[in-house]
Amino acid sequence: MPEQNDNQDPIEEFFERKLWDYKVPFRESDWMDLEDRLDIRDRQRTRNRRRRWMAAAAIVFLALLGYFTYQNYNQINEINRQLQAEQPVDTQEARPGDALTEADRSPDNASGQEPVSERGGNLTDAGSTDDTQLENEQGETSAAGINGIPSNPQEDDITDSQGIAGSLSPGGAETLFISEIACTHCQLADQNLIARNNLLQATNTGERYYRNTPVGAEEDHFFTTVEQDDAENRTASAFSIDLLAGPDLSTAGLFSDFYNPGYTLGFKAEYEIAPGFSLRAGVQQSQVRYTVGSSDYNPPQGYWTGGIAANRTTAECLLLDIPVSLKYEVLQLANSRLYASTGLSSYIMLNETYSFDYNYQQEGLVQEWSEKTGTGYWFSNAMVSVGYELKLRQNWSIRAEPYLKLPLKGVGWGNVDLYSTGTVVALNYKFGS
Amino acid sequence: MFTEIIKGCCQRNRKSQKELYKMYYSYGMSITLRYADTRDQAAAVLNDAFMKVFANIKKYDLQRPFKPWLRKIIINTAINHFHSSKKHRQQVDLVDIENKLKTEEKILSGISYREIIAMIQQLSPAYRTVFNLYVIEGFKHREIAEILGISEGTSKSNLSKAKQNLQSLLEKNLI
Repeated sequence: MPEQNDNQDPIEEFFERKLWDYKVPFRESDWMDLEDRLDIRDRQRTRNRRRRWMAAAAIVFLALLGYFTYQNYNQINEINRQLQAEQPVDTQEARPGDALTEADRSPDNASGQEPVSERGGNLTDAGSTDDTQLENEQGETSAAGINGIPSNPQEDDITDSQGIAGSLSPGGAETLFISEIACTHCQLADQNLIARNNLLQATNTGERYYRNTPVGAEEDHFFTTVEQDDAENRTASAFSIDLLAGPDLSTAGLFSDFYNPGYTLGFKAEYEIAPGFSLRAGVQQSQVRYTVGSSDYNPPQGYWTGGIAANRTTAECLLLDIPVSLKYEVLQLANSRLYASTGLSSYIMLNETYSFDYNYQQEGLVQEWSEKTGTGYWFSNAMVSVGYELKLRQNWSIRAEPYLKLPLKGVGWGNVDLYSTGTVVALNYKFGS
Repeated sequence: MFTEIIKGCCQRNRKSQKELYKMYYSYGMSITLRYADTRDQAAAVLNDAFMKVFANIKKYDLQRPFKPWLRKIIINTAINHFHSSKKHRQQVDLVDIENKLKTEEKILSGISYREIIAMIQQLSPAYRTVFNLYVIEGFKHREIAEILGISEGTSKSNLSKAKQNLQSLLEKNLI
C-alpha cells in the first residue's frame, strides 16, 4: 500500500482535497455496456465448457472403442488357439497322396493276429504280392517286431528303432518321427515324404518335409505355413496412401453464417493397426473463408482504433491442416466398404487476411489486416467423418468422406472458434496387395 | 447485505453484479476520471476494471475491506490503458491548453470538482498519470517509475510539469 507523501505543496493539497469530496452520479448506460460484455463472456464460458465436455466424451468414446476392440481381438485369438489345440493328431488317418498301397496294408496287420511274414508280397515294391519275410534289426519277423509299424493299428504299444515303447493313438504323449518308422524294405517313410512334398509343391508353399519331420506335426506344420502366408499377405497390404481434395465450408459462429466455400487438398497415410482399425495422419492445405460478428472475433487487446470494434469481419485464411485420426471399418461389402473416423487436427496459419466492416464509418478506423503469421495451433479441432470406399482395381480405390470439424480452442489472429464441414474425395493406393 | 451481494457475484448473478456496480460506481469514477481524457473513456476504464473484479471475485477475501482491493484493480486498469494508448497519445502543450481555455466559460467563484477534473484531463496523459499516482494515490517516485516503466527522474520531471500546468490553469480560472 503506498504511503502518504509528506510536505505536500499547496497545489497538491488543493487537488487532493477537491478530488476526494465529490460524488459522481450513476449512469445507467454505463451499466448496460458492462452488462453486454458480461453476457458475451458468459456465452464464451458456456461454449468453452461445452467444448471440454465434447473433447472428454470423444476421448472416452475412443478409449472404450479401443478397449472393446482389443478385447474382441483377444477373444478371437483365444478361440483360434482353442480350435487349433482341439484338432486331433491322428497319424493313422489316411492322408492325401499317401502312396501306401493295399500291398502295404495287410488285412492280417489290421487284425494284428498274424505275423507280417505271412503276408504275401515284397513291400519294397509297391503292388508286389511276393511273400517276404520282414526282419527287423533283431531278426524278428513278426509284425509286432517291425519297428514303428504296429501289427494291430488299434494296439497302443509300439516300439521305435530304439525299442522304446510309445503310442500313436490320439492323445498319445509320444512323438513318432517318420525316420523312426524303420522299414528298410517298404520305404514307407520315403513314400510318405514323396506324397507330401508333391502336395506342397502343388500348393507352392516352398516347404518340404524330411525324415525328421514329426508325423503328428505334419498337419500342424502345413496349416501353420498357410497361416503364415496369410499373415504375410495381410502385413504387406496394411499401408496405404490417399490423395484427397474437396470443398470446405467454414464459420466462426453459427452454421447459418457460412460464407463462400474454400477448398482443401493434400494427402493422408494410413496404416492398419488391427483388423478393421487404421491409424491415419496427413497434411492438407486448406483455404478457409468465413465472416464473423464482433462478439466472436477477438483480436489482440487494444487493437481497435479508439476502442471501436468492427461490426463484422470477413476472413480469408490459408492454413496447413495436420490431421491424426483413427478409422474403423463399419461394413465390408464385396467391392466396397463403409467406415467411420475420428481424430484431432492441428492448424498452422500460413496467411491471414481480415476485412472489417463498421456500423458507422469514421476516419482513422482500420479497414484490413493481413499477415503471413505462421502460427501453430496444436490439436485445435476435433474431427469426425464417415466414408464410403469403392474398389477400382487391384490396389486402387476411391473414397468419399464427409467430415465435420469442431473447435477445441480459438485459432488465428482473431482467436476464433472455427467450425468446418465439407466432403473430400480421395484416391487410395494400397501397397503390396 | 454486502456479503450476500459478493456471494451472488461469485455465482454470476446479474442482479448482485449490478448492485455491486452501483454501490462503487461513484468511487470508481472518481478515480478513472482523473486518468481518462473524457467521461466516456473513464466509464470504459471503469467497466474494464469491473470485468476483472467479477472475473476474480472468488479470490476476494470477505474478511478484508473491499475498497482498497477495488481501488488497486481500477488503478492497474487505468495504467494499462495508459500503456496501450501510448502510440495514439499526443503531447498537449501548455499553449494548447491556454487556447482551449479561452473558448471555455470561466467560473470566477470557487472551482468545482468538474472543473478540477477538466483541468486534470487537459494535462497530457504522462503528466496526468504521474500527478494522480503521486498526489492522489500517494505512490513514491521510485514506485511510479516501476509502474509506468520510466526513470525516477522522468517521474519527478513529469510531476513538476504537471503542477506547473495546473497552476497556470488555476490562475487562468481565478482571473
